[in-house]
Amino acid sequence: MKNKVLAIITIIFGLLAAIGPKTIFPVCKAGEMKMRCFYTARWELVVGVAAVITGILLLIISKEIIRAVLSGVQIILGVFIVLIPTAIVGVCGSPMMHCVTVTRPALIVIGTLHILVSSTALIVSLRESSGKRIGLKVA
Amino acid sequence: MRIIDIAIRKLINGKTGGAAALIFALILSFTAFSGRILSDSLFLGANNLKERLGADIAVVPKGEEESYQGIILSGEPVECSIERSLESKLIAIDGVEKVTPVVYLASLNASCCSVPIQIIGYDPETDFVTTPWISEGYVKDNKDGSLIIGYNIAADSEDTLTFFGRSYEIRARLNKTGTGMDKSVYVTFDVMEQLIKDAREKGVSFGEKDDITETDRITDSYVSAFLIRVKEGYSPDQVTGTILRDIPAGVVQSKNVFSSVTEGIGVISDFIRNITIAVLFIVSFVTALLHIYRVENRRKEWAVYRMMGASGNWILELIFTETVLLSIVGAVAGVGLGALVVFPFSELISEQLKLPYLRPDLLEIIKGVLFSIGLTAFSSIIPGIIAGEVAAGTECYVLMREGES
Repeated sequence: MKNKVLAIITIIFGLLAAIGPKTIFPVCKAGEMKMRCFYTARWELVVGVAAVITGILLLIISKEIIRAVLSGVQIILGVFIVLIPTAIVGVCGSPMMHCVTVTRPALIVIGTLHILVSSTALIVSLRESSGKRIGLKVA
Repeated sequence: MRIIDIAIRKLINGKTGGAAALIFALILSFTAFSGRILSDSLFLGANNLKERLGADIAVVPKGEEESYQGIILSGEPVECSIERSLESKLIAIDGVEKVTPVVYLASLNASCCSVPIQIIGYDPETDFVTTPWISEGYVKDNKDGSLIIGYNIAADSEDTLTFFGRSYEIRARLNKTGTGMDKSVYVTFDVMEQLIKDAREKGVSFGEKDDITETDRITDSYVSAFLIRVKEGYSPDQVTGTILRDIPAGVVQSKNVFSSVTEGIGVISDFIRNITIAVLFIVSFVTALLHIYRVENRRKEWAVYRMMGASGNWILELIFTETVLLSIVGAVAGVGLGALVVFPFSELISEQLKLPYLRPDLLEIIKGVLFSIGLTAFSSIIPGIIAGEVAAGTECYVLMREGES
């Protein structure tokens, strides 16, 4: 049950990372010249979709060790969700742009929470695979 | 085994039944932490603004007083023009120490993104508001460049910025102010002339003056505002009165800008404080109920402890430790969540509030963290004692036989 809930939460974060930069917290409007944030949105779509797929696998696979590996993958994807707007691709240079004030912080928050939830899922799977009964309350 | 060890193990294994109480502790510490950082940032911004205003009085075209405040507080682009010839009249007024003209021009395009930035032209010969604030650490080797940029302006890799199709080299950067000045670019009047000419080609007019021919130096005839420093011994009110009587222009006093800001901040910080107090009471009340509920659910466990020889006080102590630990864990999570919202979104918050906003230093942040965790732990003391009393007060026999008939 705990695993299913965590998997569903990672799917939601994956969806937010994938479509958020185009809908809920959009990047700047692309004119003739494509700006950096446009590519950030594109890369987040790729990473977000990957997180959703991994999350669905987490939901349907019951073998603990595979779930542990999938949770590890989710953690890495979470790191990418944070790094794409901050380090790898970046956003626009000017501090007043929408992608700087809204999209980047939103992605940082989503990515960090995604990492925390995936880490919890990883601990849960590892403990279960080693036969221990556990129940973490704190994400 | 000590009580604290038992409580920690119970917590790690999730056997306290206190998840709901944990979430309420999280809400309280989130509110306390983000509220405190928010009001600290606003007060810091306001103090910085006071130091940074520099001029005592700004003389602007009639009706543009509001827009001038907008430039200072949030860097909102504005365009207005006033006759330069007034400069000599202003300096002649009794009580005026210094006068410097400034020109405001809104750009269409800066670096990568098309964004309206305020370009501020200053007169290097008379300036006393811009150049004193150049950050020493940021002065570039080549001091011949033509732009001074505000703290928040991003330069491209070659330290240039492009305005109206012409690129300009950056000379220096100003210190962070937390005000609209962080989002402006400063140029001398010579550069401003070029910018105005280029802007006109792109369809941006400066003050919509028709009587200026292409060859005229516009800044010789028109500027956007005059900044005035009042001589010591004279009050800004006195000088303002004289200016309003003698000169056909609007006047903004710095102290008015500042007092309107502190008024706004006062309202916000009162609101934050009230919300925190309200949340504190609600959370204390709800967690008391939740802790009683979770303790009631574990009656058999208490009975077992009693049979093993534990005293009522021992049980009270265990429940109390569990309760405080739960609230501390919740508080830490709440502070984490608060940090995740307040720090990344600081630009958005300052933009939405349209008030000076400066992030507090590390020491203040640590104080905020300790305050939030302390407050949350404090809020759990009374619920912890009540829940402990409930469990410790019932007789062992009643506990064990309960539910049996």
